[in-house]
Amino acid sequence: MSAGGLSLLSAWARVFASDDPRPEFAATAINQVLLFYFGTSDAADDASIDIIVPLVSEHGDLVPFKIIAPGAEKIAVVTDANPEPLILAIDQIRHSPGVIVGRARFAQSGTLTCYVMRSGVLGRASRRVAVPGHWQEQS
Amino acid sequence: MPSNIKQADRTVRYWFITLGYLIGLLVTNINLNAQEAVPSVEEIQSDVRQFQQFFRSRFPDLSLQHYQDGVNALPQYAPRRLNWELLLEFPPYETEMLLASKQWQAPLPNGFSLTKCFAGKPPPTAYPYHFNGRVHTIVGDINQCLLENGAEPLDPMSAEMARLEAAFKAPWSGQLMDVDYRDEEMRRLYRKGQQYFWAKRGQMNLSCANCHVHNAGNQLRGDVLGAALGQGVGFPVYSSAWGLDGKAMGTLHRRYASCNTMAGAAPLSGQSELYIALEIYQAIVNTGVPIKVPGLRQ
Amino acid sequence: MQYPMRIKVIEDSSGFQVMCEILHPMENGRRRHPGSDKIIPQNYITQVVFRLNEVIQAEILLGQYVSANPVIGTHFSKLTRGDTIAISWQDIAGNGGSASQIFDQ
Repeated sequence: MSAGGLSLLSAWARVFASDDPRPEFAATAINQVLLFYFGTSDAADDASIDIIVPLVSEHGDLVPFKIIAPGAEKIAVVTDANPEPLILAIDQIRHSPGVIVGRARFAQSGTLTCYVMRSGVLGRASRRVAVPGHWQEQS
Repeated sequence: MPSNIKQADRTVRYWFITLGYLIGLLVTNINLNAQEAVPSVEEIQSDVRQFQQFFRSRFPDLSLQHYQDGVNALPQYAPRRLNWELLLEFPPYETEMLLASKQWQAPLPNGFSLTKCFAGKPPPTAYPYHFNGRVHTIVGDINQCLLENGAEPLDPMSAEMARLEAAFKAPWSGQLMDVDYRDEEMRRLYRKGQQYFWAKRGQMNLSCANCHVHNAGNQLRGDVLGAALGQGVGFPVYSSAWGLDGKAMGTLHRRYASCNTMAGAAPLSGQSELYIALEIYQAIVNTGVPIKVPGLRQ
Repeated sequence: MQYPMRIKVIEDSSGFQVMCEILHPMENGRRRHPGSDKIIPQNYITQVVFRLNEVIQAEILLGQYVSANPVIGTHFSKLTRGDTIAISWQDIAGNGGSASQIFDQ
């Protein structure tokens, strides 16, 4: 087996390492998440997307956030702080602005990025969130 | 020098040092004993004014009302306030409070209920109080009611006790703290609580005042230290950290015990005399601060 | 397995924010039982659907990185008295639940 073949095998193995059957949730790179969820990974910064998230969160296990994106059709919320970036995604939005309210788990300090699809164009906004202490894994 | 003279010299020196130490100890003890064990009402009023004035000058933009939110009100907490504000849109304590009111109204084995027990008692803003030779705290009165009516008393540090206390206090949110300290026993315990608050303890050699008075608003590792003014008015509290461990609601004494542990001091048990004295001291210096139960803290 | 849920509607700047809280552990399948090597099986909510008068308004997909006892919400521009808000969810272990509320503000 060639080295290229081996690396392809390990990439697929990584994608399916998480038990989530949905490829966008199992993907380990933000590009893969975008390709699986939106069909494209070409995104441009968009100032109309509002991310409300604390600069410093109190717990990695409980990071509250709110995304407000006027005219959104689909939204994906990802972070580079976790092994699998996708936190949650919203589809079939019938109201404007598209709003998603949630509480995330961050394994470490990182950037919360939001990708918004409107009329075939993918917009992006991000905010850095500091997390004091690591995600507790009880043993 | 001959050895017998050397020996005599050492003995004299030893006794000189020991006597000097004992005299010094006696002198300092005399000074300590000069402090009044029972302060007068005027002394306590002056203490409260001084305590509150300290925080008014440290945080000029905050009024007494702001201190009901604890550390969330401090300007240094601004980068993290969104944690609290976003959580308040759908407060995690609502489920606990629904359970709390059900537990509060549940009939006791002999048909009586906590509602009836507390019908004749002062409002929570007047607790703790001294009556009939006993100091009454809300937790103590709840356990007394349970015991007198055939139910098992609850662990004062448990989440269940915190829920019951919150069920009693929550309807009074917004009312100002107003503990009566004219009674001599209350004033004696006020002094005891004051000494506890300002005395250093533990491996870290910290007093409550070191963090919550001298360093209120400053950062201690990853946390912002809250102000001592207003501590207790938000209790029982819903703490997200405790919630992640499965026991979200907590009483004031549970918080005292965890603070002791953080300072490397041995925690006391819930409703121990020193914690009650500390609760009395804090309740008195909080005169005029509105209660807000349950508080939401990290 | 029954997981209680509650719905809450609050006003926001251009309509209403409809939120639900589901008391679900959101186990990611990586934690162990305290004091043993046994892994707590994976069990997290994968989908929450918001309906207004039986018409889907939003479908939210969740993963293992959403906090325990999740609070999920979205925006509804217009709500009139008598509208039925229904929220249903499904998790990866095959459980599901739903709740509905009639808007009466």
